Amino acid sequence: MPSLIDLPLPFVLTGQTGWGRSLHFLSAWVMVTTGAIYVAAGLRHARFQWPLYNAAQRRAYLAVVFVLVPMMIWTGLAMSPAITSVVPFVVSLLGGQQSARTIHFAVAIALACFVIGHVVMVALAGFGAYVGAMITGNMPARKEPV
Amino acid sequence: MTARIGRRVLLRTGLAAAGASGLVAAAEIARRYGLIPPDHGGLYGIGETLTYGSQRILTATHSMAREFSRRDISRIAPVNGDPPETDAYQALLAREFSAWRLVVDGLVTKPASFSLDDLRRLPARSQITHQACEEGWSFIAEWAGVPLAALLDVVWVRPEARWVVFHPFDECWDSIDIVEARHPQTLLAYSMNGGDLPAGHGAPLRLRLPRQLGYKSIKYLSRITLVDSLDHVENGKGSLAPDLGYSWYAGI
Repeated sequence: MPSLIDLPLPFVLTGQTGWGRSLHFLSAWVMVTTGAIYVAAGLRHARFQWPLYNAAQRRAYLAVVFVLVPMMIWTGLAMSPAITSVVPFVVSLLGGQQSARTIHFAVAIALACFVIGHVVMVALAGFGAYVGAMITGNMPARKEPV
Repeated sequence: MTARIGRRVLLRTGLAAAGASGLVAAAEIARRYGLIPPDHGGLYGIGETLTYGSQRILTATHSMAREFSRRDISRIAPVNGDPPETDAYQALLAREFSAWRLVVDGLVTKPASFSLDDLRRLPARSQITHQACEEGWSFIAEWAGVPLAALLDVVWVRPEARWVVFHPFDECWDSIDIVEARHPQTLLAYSMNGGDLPAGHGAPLRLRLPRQLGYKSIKYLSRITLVDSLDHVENGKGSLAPDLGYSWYAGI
């Protein structure tokens, strides 16, 4: 049955799933590697360095770093027939592969909402300064928290 | 006055050199231990290699896909796509595949062709496994057939064979590595849920690969070829899948 809504053709460049599937799995490696370094560094310093953020922001960050992203990884691996053959509890604890898939999509929507809010707030606070700070570690000079 | 090489410069250069040679060594080890997939090229090939390499290592202990009981079998097993409409296939189908032969060739000492009766005389295995399709749907069914490992023993696979290529009656050719081929659950199935394999599910013979996504379980098998390199097989990427945006390795 033809779909009601179709994305414009350029989004499906090279085939049925296009490059989106490949990008997703490459990005997964980048996220897991970066995330592992981030969490390890935070644990080593015994706290996460969020001095300028208010309580709501810190709670959001904690939820993303310690709940949403780990759930993405867990539900993603639960959909892997190879991984679940090695560690079956990864999928059975979630109630099966279909449950894992549903949770994966729900968490993805939550993360997407976070990213939109996150980027908007960074833009309001000074995009260049804060993205530069994220990369170099040199916090911009601000008197009051964002 | 000669300049002294500072300790920090020495340390950094040494670390960089060690890192670079470490990468080269890792690449060589990966290649030798079969950790590099045929679709390793390009930017996305990096992700494919990391995924295949890590999962190849993790599943090297012949981890078994979960096997279910008869009451778990799905009421509905969706059929994805029609059987080939070629004259060759339809003629075989019309005569219940009595004239069909599975050809096994390539790097084998005793190439042969097998009828369905020949295959049924070989050691059989029955397994109730879950099949997940990349598209999102899934089902559980009981598959019975001859383990690929048993067939490879009959034709005396040569030691230099590293990949098994599957040629079906349609254009969806594919391949697996020899480790996967020897896995006890890698099945050439001629029976589904207690009866003959239906045309919609790949009659007369299909591959069953329960540790990978459904699109690797090739239907309508016609020929199996053992090779030591996939570089010169069709598109050189091990499968039709990479041309369609899928991965050669479908463990995830």
